[in-house]
Amino acid sequence: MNDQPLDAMIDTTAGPPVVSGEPHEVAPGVFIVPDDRVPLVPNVGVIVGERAALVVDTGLGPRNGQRVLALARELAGARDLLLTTTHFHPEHAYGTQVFTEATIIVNREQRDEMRQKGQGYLDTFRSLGEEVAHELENVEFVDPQVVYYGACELDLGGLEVQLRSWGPAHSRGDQVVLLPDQRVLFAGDLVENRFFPILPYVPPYDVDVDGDRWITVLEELERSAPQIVIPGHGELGGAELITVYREYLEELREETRKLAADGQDADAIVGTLIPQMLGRRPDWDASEPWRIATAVQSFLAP
Amino acid sequence: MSTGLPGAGTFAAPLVSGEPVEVADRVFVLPDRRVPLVPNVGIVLGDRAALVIDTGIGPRNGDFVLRQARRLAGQRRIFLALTQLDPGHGFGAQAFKGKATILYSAAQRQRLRDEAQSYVETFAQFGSEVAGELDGLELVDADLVFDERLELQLGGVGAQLTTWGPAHNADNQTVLIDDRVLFGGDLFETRMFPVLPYFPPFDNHFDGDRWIAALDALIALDVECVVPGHGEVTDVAQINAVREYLDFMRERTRQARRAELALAEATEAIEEQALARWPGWDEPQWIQPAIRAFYEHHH
Repeated sequence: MNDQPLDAMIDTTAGPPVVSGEPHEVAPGVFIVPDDRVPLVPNVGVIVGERAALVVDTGLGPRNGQRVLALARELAGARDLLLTTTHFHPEHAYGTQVFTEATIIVNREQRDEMRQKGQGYLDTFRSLGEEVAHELENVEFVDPQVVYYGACELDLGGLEVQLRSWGPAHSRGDQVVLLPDQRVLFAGDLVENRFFPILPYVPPYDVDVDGDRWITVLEELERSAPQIVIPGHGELGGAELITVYREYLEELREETRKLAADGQDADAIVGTLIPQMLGRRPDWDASEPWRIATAVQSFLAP
Repeated sequence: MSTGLPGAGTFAAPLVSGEPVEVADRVFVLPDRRVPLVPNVGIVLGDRAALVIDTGIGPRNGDFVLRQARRLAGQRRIFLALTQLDPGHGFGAQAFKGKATILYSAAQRQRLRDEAQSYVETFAQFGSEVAGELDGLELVDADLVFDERLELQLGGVGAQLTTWGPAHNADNQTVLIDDRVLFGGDLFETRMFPVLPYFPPFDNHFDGDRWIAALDALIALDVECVVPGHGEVTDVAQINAVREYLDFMRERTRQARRAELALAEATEAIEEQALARWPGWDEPQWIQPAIRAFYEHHH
């Protein structure tokens, strides 16, 4: 499936990849700018404490970054600004360059992964269509000022925020943002709501996705029992969003390995599972069957 | 409580003072002038941000350090890191609250929660000069708490914060600047017996094997410039010298155990040997706690 034209890989008919939702407060001090289910727009978070505010994800490219920065500044007033990104993918992190007034903090794997793959993903995404390419004009890669190993905690002033590394799963540098007192979880693309998950297995460019570990990570996140889960894409929900995603990944893994054990090759398995998985989840946005194909290939990978 | 701490009541005014000295490119030190309870304070100056390493004891020292850092840093953001959260190194952090980004390791936060208040009471007995610096003390939380390692990019200069505890203490942390300058905290001092406040049950997070292993790792970094917790800025030879001292202590106490010497007998013999072997080192009151620490950790 990797020879499929790249411009078929993202459906942009639902709107241009522009952060344009209205921010709203989902818990005291916790704001999200919803994606409104527009492809290549993430759910953006702004967490405002007494002393400082933390932005979670930037949107695609510097113009989206500017929008997010302006929204964050409006919510944060004169507070210190911090920025973190849930993973290095373009719609989550490629607006980072405009946050010159903020302290940028990510985990070590994400910093390294951006250095290694950032330009490759930029080139690929620029070929996804005019609107995407437009948002990705003048992207510059900037190193974070603070790089943590494993986990760290931020005190924004009366508001504790935990940053935790969980990769490799969806990517090598996956990070979630957890507010333990409010029990709010920003899950990044480890959890999406009614979108098929992306397991970006595209050898030789990117083979870091780890579906098995992803399932384990989701089990861990379920155990943390958040009350509000903000997925990377799609409407927010409760802990059941995590369970639904884990069950899907487990089902896909099981079906894939069963068919492989029956002697079917990758193309045949993909051919069987795309209609099967789409049929079982008719209410999921499913215009991108490659999401299932690359997932199958990742579960078949040695 | 009676501390039995050596030197109690004899401290001179523990004041961080003087002008920052540029000991390496973009790396400044406020030298301790070999004044007890005064650490070597670091100020690292990047294009975008500055990093302060240690504060001195109490709010006035903290304020002095912050003003010196602000003079160098101008409008740049300031980070504060500590080599350990004990009174001499970290009890000026309150001056930085809201004005800088305070960074603790998880071990330092733990020490803050579990032990810091008891230090206040103990150090207040070290004479009016020390008690005076603790006047108005507030123990403050960090803005960011990290597990074991953190990297900072200050703009043209980078810093790596690495935890080593338990070693000399529960929360030892070094700060490495661009693989060329090492701030070691009290993992080593220059020309003085290493400060080792081992007085169980007070402050007993000592692990001699891990301390020596940490020094081996730091020696292997092979940096150009070494800033100890106390004493003059130096080079790797000084880390080697302290490693040799610790190894001496470990071996002699092991021999004493094998010979079934009681602690008091062992102390008498080993202290004399240490004084003879390192005649130029100051602060000999730290020899006995070192003997006891190693002796009690051989089982």
